[in-house]
Amino acid sequence: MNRLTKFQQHTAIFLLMMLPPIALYFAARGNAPDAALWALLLPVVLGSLWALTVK
Amino acid sequence: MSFFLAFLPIAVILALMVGYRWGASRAGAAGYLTALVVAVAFFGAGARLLAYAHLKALLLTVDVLLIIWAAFLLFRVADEAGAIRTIGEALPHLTADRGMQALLIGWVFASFLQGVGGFGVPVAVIAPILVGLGFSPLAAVVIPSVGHSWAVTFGSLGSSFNALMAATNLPQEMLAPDAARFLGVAGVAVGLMVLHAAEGWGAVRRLALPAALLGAVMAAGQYLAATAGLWNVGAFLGSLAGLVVAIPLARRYRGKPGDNGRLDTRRVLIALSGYAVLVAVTLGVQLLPGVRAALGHTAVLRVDFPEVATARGFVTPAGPGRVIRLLRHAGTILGVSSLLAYFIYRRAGWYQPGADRRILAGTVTRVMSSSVGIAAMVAMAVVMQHAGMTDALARGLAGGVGSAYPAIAPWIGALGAFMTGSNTNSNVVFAALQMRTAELLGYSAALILAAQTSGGALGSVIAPTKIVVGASTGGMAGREGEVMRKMLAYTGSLVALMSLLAMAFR
Repeated sequence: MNRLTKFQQHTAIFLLMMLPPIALYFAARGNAPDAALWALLLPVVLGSLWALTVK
Repeated sequence: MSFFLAFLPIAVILALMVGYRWGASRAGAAGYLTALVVAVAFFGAGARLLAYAHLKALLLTVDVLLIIWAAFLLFRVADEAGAIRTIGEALPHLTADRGMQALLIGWVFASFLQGVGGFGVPVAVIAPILVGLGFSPLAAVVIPSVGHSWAVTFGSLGSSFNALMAATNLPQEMLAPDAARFLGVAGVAVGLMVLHAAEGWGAVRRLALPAALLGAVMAAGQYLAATAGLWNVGAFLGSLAGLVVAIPLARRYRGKPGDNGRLDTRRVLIALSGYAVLVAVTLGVQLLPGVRAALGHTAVLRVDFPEVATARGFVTPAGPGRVIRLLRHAGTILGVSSLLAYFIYRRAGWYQPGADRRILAGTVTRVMSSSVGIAAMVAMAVVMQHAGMTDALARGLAGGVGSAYPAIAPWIGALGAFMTGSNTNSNVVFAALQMRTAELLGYSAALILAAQTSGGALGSVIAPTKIVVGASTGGMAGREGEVMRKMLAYTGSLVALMSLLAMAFR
């Protein structure tokens, strides 16, 4: 992670927070099981955890 | 218990930003994660509810970021051309008095931009100008942030007031007078606070008279427009009246001009043309019904959501999320204005080789950190709304205070705006609840709703998303906590003033 610049890290975090909700919406619309929805939410959570570490 | 749990994400953000001076991207992420855990563990939010909530948050984030990205672009276009510096160098010719400069640019002009623009634009545009004039970055962010707050409800061409009417189904004739009165009083106080933020109590004592005069003119202009049915241009007309009065007033309080050389009027006009284009395009799109309707019907981003409920029975009804009309979006208006301004400056020969690359690179680099913060904050707010946490907060505040409810109403409005970053969203979320509570307690609904929207307007400027915008453009990126700390005192005093008004007129 440290080899990435702050800008690169923020870009990656931003994408992790913005892209999964699109898949989440379609999965929920398609009546995907809850386990699949939780799995799709995981990147957003991981992105947020990553954001905590970028000073 | 529900109240305190619901308050936890906000407490986390406040503690990290104000106490530990974390930036918005880190504090926002912490707030979002807290909201998510509390929503799932204590409020019964399930996977399906969260799935829909996250796409709604995404739409709201896009809505907000379009403006921020485009505002940065306009700033970079003007800055790279040297327009900001030119305006900064010209202003001492009008008045060298720093207090008057703060009033003229950070209050009257900021309110004018809020009248014709929208979310974050006044701060994004004005903070760099004030830095160029020699104000400290902190003051440069705080002055326009406080300065435009009184103009939020009837600004953005009335979107917040429209939301108040829509959420309560009450007419303009009933809602506008009290709302305009409350915000008018706030406006005068805002002028004095701008002076304090600029130069301390000395400036307040020295320039209280012109500030009171300007405040009275702007408040009267907004009141007359709003009560005459022109609520969509209330802040615009009020601040326009303020500008007309401010220019001769600034000459009266000239201060001690330094040796600035001869004023090159043509150069100043070219520099200002970038912002004149913004005003012209905004008015063209918003006030010409044919143009507004045509642009509103094409390129519409709209997603329909089904009804969802938590395990505890809190229901979010079915309906569209944030509907984004791309062609008449404030971000598009700013983007088009940036393009036109770029061509004007290029034709004037104001760009050095490589300017295009520097404009784009500078914009992208500076917006990304802010974008993470905003995405996290918006996700937190939407998750809280869908989980019933926002509702629990409002009910806890209302139920706990009884006859002192009018004093609490502005704080609920401010809380909603703080969490959602918008007076409009605060009105959408809390106006109906405020109206019902007013009826139950036997208070005037118009009075309580005036307290709601004025609190929302004043509180919206300390929303973390807005703080991020201001901090980024004013050179305070990463120091958002300092801005928040300074802003809390001003905003808290203004909302407390609204509480006093509500109690006095209940």
